[in-house]
Amino acid sequence: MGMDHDLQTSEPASPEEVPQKVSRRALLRDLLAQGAALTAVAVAVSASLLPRPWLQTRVDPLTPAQWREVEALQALILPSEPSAPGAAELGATVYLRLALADPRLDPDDLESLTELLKNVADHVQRAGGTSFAALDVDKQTTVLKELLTDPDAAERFGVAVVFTLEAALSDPVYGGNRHGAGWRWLGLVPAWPQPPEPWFKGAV
Amino acid sequence: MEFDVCVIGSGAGGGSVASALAQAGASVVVLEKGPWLRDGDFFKDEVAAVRRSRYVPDRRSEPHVVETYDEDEGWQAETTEGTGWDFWNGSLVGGASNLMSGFFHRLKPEDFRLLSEFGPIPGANVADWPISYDDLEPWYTLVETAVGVSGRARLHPLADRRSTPDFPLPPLAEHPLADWLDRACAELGLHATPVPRAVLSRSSGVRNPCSYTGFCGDYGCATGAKGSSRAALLGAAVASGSCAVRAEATAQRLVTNARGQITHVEYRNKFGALHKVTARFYVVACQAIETARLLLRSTGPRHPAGLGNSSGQVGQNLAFSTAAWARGELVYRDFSEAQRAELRHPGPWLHRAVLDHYFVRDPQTGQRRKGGLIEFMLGSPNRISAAESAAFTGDVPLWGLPLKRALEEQFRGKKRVLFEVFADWLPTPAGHVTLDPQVRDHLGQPVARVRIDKHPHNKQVADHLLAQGVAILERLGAQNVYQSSRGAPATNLPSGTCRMGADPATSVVDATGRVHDCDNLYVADASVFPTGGSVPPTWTVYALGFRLADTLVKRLGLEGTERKG
Repeated sequence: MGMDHDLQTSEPASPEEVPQKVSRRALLRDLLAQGAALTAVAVAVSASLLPRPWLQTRVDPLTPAQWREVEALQALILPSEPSAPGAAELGATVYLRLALADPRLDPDDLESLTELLKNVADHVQRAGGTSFAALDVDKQTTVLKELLTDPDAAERFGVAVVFTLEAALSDPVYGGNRHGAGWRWLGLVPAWPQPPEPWFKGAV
Repeated sequence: MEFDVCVIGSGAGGGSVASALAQAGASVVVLEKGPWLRDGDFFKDEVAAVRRSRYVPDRRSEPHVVETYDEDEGWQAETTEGTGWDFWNGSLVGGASNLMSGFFHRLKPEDFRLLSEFGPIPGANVADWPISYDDLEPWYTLVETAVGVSGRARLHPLADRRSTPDFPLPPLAEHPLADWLDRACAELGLHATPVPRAVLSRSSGVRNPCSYTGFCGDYGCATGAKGSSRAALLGAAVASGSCAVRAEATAQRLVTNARGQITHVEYRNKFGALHKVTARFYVVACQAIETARLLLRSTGPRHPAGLGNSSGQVGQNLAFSTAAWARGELVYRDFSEAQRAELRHPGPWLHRAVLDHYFVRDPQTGQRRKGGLIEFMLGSPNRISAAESAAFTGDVPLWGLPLKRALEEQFRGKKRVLFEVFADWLPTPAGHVTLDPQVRDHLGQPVARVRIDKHPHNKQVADHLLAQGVAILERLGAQNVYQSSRGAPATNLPSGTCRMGADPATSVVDATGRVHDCDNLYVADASVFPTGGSVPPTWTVYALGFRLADTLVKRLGLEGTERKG
C-alpha cells in the first residue's frame, strides 16, 4: 500500500523523487561509542524537546550530542524566516523523536541518519570544528555542500530531508507542524477528522 | 455450531457474499485477519495511512518473496522486507475496500472474451471468461444500490450497456477543472466521461454522505460514505443476526476429509490460539495472492498439492493492472485571474476518464486491439508526498531557502493534475504464485512467492495510452509533465490466480466460482478473473460476489426466503 506501484491510492511517487534506502550498518556499535559524549548541556537540550510521557521509558536511539547535530541540520534544511516558519518553529526535532519510536519505521532510516551524522562529524573535523551545531551558519553551509558531493552521503541526507518534510506537514499530534504552522504557511487546511494521538501510541 | 457458510476474507468479495447470504437467512461466519475498525477509528492521518501503512501487515513479520527477471542472472528472489514491494491490500474488516478511492468502472463486454475477440498473443495465456457481460450486468446494477454508487449516465461511444437509466445516487460535486478537461478532450476529438464513485453523495441509512476532504485512497472513511464492504454491507449483515464477523482471526488452512470435502477451517486468533469453524460451504476471498497461498497450503488426502490444485492451476495466470501514470502542473501565473480562481477551487475531484482508447487500431496491421482506460484526477491530497515531489528533483535534494520557495510554489503556485493508465497485464506461463520453500510468517506458515513476469505487450499498450494522456495534459496547458511507465504491475490490483473456466484442466473454479475439485469450496475475489480487464476491478469483484451468493442461496434451499435486514 502507498507504494510507487499502486494505482488509485495515493499519488504515485517515482523512484527519482524519493531517497533510496541504504543497507544496515553497525548501528549499536556507533551508538555505544557516541554515548560516551554525554554532557550536562546536552541533557538539557534533550529535555527541552518535550518528549511524550509515554515515550520516556524507551531507550533513545540518539545521544543528546547527536540530537544537537540533528537539530542544526534540520535548521539548515528548513531555515527560519520572519515570514515563514523553519524547522525550529515547526518542532522538527520533536517530530523526529516520535518518528524514531514508530514501530513501523524502516530501521534503515535510523541507520541512514546515524551514518549521516558520522559523515557530518568527519567533515566538521576536517574543517577544524568540534561539532556541526557549534559552527556558524556559513560554515555549516560549506560543510554540507562539501558533504553532498559524496552520492552516498547525499542519499543519507535525503532521509533527513524527508523526516523534516514529514515534521513540517504531518498532523501536529506527531510533534511537528506545531499548532498547524506548516499547513498555514503553505495555505493548507487540516483535514477532518484529525488523529487524536499518534497511531502507534498503544503499541509503544 | 455449524454455520451454513464460512467466508474467509471480508473485502469486496467476501463482504458481498456474506451480506447477501445473511439477507437470505443463511447463517454466516466471516473470518478476517485484521481488526474491526469503525468509522470513528479512521482519521486523515498521512503518517499512519500512507507513510507507515498501518492498515496492512508489517513486511518484517509477514513478508512476501518476489521473483523478478534479470537479464544476466535469471530469476532473482528477495523478500519484501526492506524493499519497495508490497502485495498487502488492507488487513481489516472490509479489507482493501476501506482504502480504495472508489472510482468505479464496469468491464466492457469485450473484456469477457479477450481471446476470441482479439486472438492469441504469443507468450501470453489469454482466455475468455465463461460468462458474458450480460450475465454480470444485473449484478453490476445491484452493486449500485447495495454499495451505493454515485454518478450520472452519459451517452458516449463506449458507454456501459445498462439495465437502468441512471445511477441511484446523483453525482458528487466536481472541481471546475472537469469542465476544462471536457473542453480539452472535445478539442482533441475525445470524450471525457464522468466517472461513477462508490461514495455516497447523500446519506443512506446509517451512512453519512461524503465530507469532501479528498483523502480517499489509502484512508479509511470517517463518514461511512465510501462503499467499503464494512460500511455498506457487513454492518447490516451483522445487525440481521445471521452473520458473525470474527476479526483478528487468521485462517491457517482448510481441512479436508477422505472424500476431499472441507470439514473445517483452522484459524488463529490475535493471541495465537488455534480455533476451528465448521460450515456446509466455504468461500475464500483473501485477494488473489493470499487466496492462492491459503489453497496451496491446504493439503489433504485428496488434495496433496493443495485445494483446487489437482491440475496445478492454483497460483497460475497471475495478473495485475499495468501501472503507468503522468502528472502535469497548471501554474497559476500562466492563467487569467478568472481561470486562477477556478484552479484554486478546493474541490478534490475531477471524476473524468477517457475511454476512447479502450480499443485501438494497430498502426501496422489496422487490426482492432485492446487498449485501456485513462483516468484523470487532481494531484494527491497527501501533503508530505507532494512536498517530496518538490524537494527531490535532482541528484541532491533541495534544502534551505530554495527548498522553502519550492514548497511554496508547489502548494500555492499550481494545481497538479494526474492521470493513471489502466491496461491489461497479460497472464503468462511464468507469472505465478507459489509457496516459498523457506520463508515463513510470524505464525510459521510459508509465505507467498510471487513471480512477476512482464509481457512486453503490457508496456507497449501502457506507453500508447500514456502518450494519449500526455497530449490531453498538454492541451489543458500543463507544464513540467512527468511520466512514468516501467511496465510494472500495480501491486494493489492482483488477479487471476484461481482462474474461472469450464475446463478443470486449465482453470480452478467454474462459472459460479465453485472450485472444480472441491464441491463445498468457492472463491470470491479477483483471483477468478481469467483476464484482468483495463479498469479497476472492485465493481466486478462486488458483482461476482453477489452472483456467487445467489448460487449458494439456491444450494442452501433458501430461495424465496424472506430477506432480513
